[in-house]
Amino acid sequence: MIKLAWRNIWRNSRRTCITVASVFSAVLFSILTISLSDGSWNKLMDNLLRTQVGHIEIHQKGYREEKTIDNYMTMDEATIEKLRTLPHITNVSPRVETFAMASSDKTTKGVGIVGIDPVQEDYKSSLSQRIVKGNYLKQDDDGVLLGKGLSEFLQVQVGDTIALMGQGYHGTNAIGLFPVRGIVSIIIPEMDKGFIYMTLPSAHSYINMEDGYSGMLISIDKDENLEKARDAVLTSIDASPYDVMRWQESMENLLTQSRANKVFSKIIMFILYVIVGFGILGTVIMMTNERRHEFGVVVALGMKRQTLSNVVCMELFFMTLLGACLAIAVSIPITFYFSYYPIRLTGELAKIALGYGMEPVIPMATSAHIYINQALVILFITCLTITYPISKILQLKVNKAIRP
Amino acid sequence: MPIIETINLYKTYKDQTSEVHAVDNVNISIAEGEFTAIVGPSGSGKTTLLNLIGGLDTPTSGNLFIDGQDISRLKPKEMVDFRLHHIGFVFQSFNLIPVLSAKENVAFVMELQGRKKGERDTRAQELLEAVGLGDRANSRPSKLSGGQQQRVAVARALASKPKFILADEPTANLDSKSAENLLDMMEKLNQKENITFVFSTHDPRIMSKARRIITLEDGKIINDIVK
Ligand SMILES: Nc1ncnc2c1ncn2[C@@H]1O[C@H](COP(=O)(O)OP(=O)(O)O)[C@@H](O)[C@H]1O
Ligand SMILES: [Mg+2]
Repeated sequence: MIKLAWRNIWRNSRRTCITVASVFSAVLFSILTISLSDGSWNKLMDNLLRTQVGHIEIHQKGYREEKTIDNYMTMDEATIEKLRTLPHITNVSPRVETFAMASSDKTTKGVGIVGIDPVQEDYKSSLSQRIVKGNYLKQDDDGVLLGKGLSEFLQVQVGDTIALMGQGYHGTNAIGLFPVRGIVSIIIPEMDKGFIYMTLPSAHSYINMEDGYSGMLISIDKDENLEKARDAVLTSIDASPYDVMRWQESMENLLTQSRANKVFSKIIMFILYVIVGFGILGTVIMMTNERRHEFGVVVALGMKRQTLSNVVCMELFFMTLLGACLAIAVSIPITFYFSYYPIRLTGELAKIALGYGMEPVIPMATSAHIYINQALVILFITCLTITYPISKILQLKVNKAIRP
Repeated sequence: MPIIETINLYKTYKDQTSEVHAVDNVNISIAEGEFTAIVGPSGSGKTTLLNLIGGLDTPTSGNLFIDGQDISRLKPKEMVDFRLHHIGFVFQSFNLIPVLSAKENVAFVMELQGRKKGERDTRAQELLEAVGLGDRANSRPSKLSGGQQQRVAVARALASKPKFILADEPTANLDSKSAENLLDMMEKLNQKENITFVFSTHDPRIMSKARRIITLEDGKIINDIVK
């Protein structure tokens, strides 16, 4: 029977080729689209997780609603050290994040200040490797690092001094003069044009608060250990004054936006599959009607309708599997290639990407579920179209079908 | 005991306006080894009668006995199995499965019967030789002439070792030479192997080869001659 199905496929090889080709192109197109969008998304997440956010973040309750210094958390050094020893946790970076007006001799600009532990931060985001001029911060440095874009705007060089002015703890004024130690190039343009890094002690004295932090950014080894690591945090410290958030919560806005984007691409994909589905259905209907007489003959000879249905199912599955497998076979080298050598956007597109705060490169994602899901979708569509020939076979009036 | 016996067999097609008695009170009895033609003009009910006898259609009323068993009340699934083991079919045209070779077509029914591959292959080859096509075993139907295709169909009908073979206008699409050859071959099988044939035709030269001629008109038997 397998032989019969196999031969039937090649009976009308043109029709088979069209079916296989349409399955092939639909699956290939959706794999590449999803791979690209997942890839750029993963890249963005990766950038954010390495720089601005942690897999787990600890904040004072209320800080998220109102990001003011008065809502800073406090945590002693021993507790922070304890967090560092917990399983799956690879890094704990205490942060002091606030806003200020930064002035040089020439001009003034609103900036974000990030108070960091230079050693921990370097583990987390390899900040020292992005120094383009000057030096990285020493542990008790009283100087600052400027984003390259910001240094250009303020027209300051390494060795110059900038003045920062903003709000400190309990409504005090925060004022300070800081020598520029180095210029860093930050991949996220928004940060490059508006961020200043200083050590935690500098930040503390600047905001007039000894042991306050905007938050703790915790990195973990693997994303799937997120819950375990978070549970460990919750049980090992007295977490009652804190929000211990997963990164999905701290980036809720971004995720909502991405979900909207994904819905959009799902709709496009859905339309594509509907078109392909009708294409397959068309060939299936044609095939069924052309073979009505033949179906009649084999049932008359004594073939069970069930067996005949199986043969026809096999034919259709062969065809879609062939198309889907080909598409996967072709897409694997493509996606792997572009995951190692990401597509680099140029010209306008690069500007748009930069405008959204993204690096202008798009790597492709290569997780197995991307390929498998598309193959499953097309198999599901095939299952739907198969109902047509099966119902025809089951309802076939043999005495009519065999009449010439 | 006859191998085919019909008793007051009726098949009536109804549509909104009219009723057609395609088979109208047919009583026939056919014994093993007969070589019978069912004749009559187009629309006289030949196909309908053969379909009823072959279990491809169910009678409106009446009974049909094959080898003494009343098959007019079999369930559809049982009917498929009954056909597979007891009745051989030759249809008017496009009989063969296009993607299978002549030999595979003959082996097909034996495969449905669940016979072993070795047995299928030898018997299929023997049968093709019996119908004079031993050398075309591996040809696809499209590479065979109409007459050759019908011979393969006869070989296939024989493959299941049926009680009898029903052939509905087997020569309708053949030129007169091939038609006569096919009939001669069927006649030879009938005489040598005692295979029972019931075939329909409206061609006078073909019907003259039969030893019994049943004539239908408007679904009724109007004549039944044994030579
Ligand atoms: N499925 C059907 N529905 C309605 N009428 C039918 C059907 N099949 C056959 N008939 C009618 O039954 C009669 C006998 O047809 P048929 O058995 O095909 O005759 P033959 O084979 O001798 O030409 C014809 O009048 C035909 O129109
Ligand atoms: Mg007819």
